[in-house]
Amino acid sequence: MQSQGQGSIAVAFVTSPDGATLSGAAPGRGALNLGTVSYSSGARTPNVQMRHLEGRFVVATRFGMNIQDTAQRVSSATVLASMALPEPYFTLRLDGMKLETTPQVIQGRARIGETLPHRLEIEVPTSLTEKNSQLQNAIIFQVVPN
Amino acid sequence: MSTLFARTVIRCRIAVIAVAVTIAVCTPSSAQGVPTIIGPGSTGPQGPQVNANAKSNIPPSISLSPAVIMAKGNFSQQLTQTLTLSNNTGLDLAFELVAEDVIVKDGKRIFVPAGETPNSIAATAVFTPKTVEVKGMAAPAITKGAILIKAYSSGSADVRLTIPAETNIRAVALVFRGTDKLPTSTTGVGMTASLATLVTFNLSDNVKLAPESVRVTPASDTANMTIAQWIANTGTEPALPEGTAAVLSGSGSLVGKATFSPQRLLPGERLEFTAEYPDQLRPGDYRALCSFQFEGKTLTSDSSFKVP
Repeated sequence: MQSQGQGSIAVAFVTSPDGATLSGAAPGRGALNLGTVSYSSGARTPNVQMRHLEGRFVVATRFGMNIQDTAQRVSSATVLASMALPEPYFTLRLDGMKLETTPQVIQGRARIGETLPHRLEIEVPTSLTEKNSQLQNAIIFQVVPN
Repeated sequence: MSTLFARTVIRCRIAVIAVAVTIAVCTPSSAQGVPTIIGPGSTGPQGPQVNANAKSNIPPSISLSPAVIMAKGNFSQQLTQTLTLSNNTGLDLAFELVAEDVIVKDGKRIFVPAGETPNSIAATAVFTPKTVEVKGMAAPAITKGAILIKAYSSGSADVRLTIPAETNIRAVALVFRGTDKLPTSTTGVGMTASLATLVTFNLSDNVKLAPESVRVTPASDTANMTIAQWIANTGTEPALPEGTAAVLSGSGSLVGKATFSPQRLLPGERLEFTAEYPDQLRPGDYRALCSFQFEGKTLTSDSSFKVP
């Protein structure tokens, strides 16, 4: 079977101008810190929005994802996202799409070479207490060249 | 009075509801190293390691090469390729190696886990890591394993795919899927990036593209003139049409050209190809002639338009 390989695809997360700051405790390691948020006093971190809903509140911020192909052989990519583990309390939405453990297409034709803005929303039920309010999960992004 | 008391209680209850949403993001930052395989039951990667030789001018990222593999052959044949993932970050990153069939349903690409589609190509994938240090397991085929690529290093894996004797599938995604074994903050949501190589297979000569009408959108104060055309892949094989649009005057002489960005069309896909024409056209009658080349064939269509 004959085959021809083309290009290379790279991905990086970047701070969005209107999002929470990506800061690193060690080189190469960053944190998008939304800080501590409470129903009564809201968000204290710049560029972190909060809105109240009945029985829950939603914390949101933006971040960027940069996809590159240095060989410029690929013009777009499919971006999928999923949760690493089932999330019992929180609801996470990326660009309005509820995240599950099964990867879902967030963007079917994401342009390569541009930093693409994404909006992360975390819905917190007010039934949570300080004991179970810590969110420990991971969002798995998958970038597939088109 | 009792209502006031109830309100106060509710307010106090709400006040203790706090959520710490610290999101640890792998900000991907390059050097050489030896990838390590970790298998089922082994311990995950250790904490972040900083390489003193790290090149600070390289933005933190992870990259996978090649991005796309275009294969041509017959049913029942095998394809073996080497994939290389570079970890240009200060963290050790762990990846599972998985293959997914890429099919088109209702015009959209769907990524199906290996084996869930009849005559799955992904189900035949066998990943074999290269230049690796095996931890406590006699490696090679690690379809259920993972590859740990140390900070500022790269790791490779060979993958072998066998085309079934009969299949409608023509594309597979070979994914280096970031795992949740990544070291993240103790409280928060880790964000891990996974990269995939798209492999397409041309297994017959049935490459057919159906072009729709050419549309010309005149230039405005804020946008250039665009020439667009929808093309559907009505054959059974993938195609990567590369096209140009020629703008001809009323007398048929060439006025200018614009290039369409190449886009891959899997069987069943329909995409709009758009070319931007940057020059200003004088008032008059014109014709846009679009031609696309793919698999040794040429597709030509045109449309007349007027610039007032």
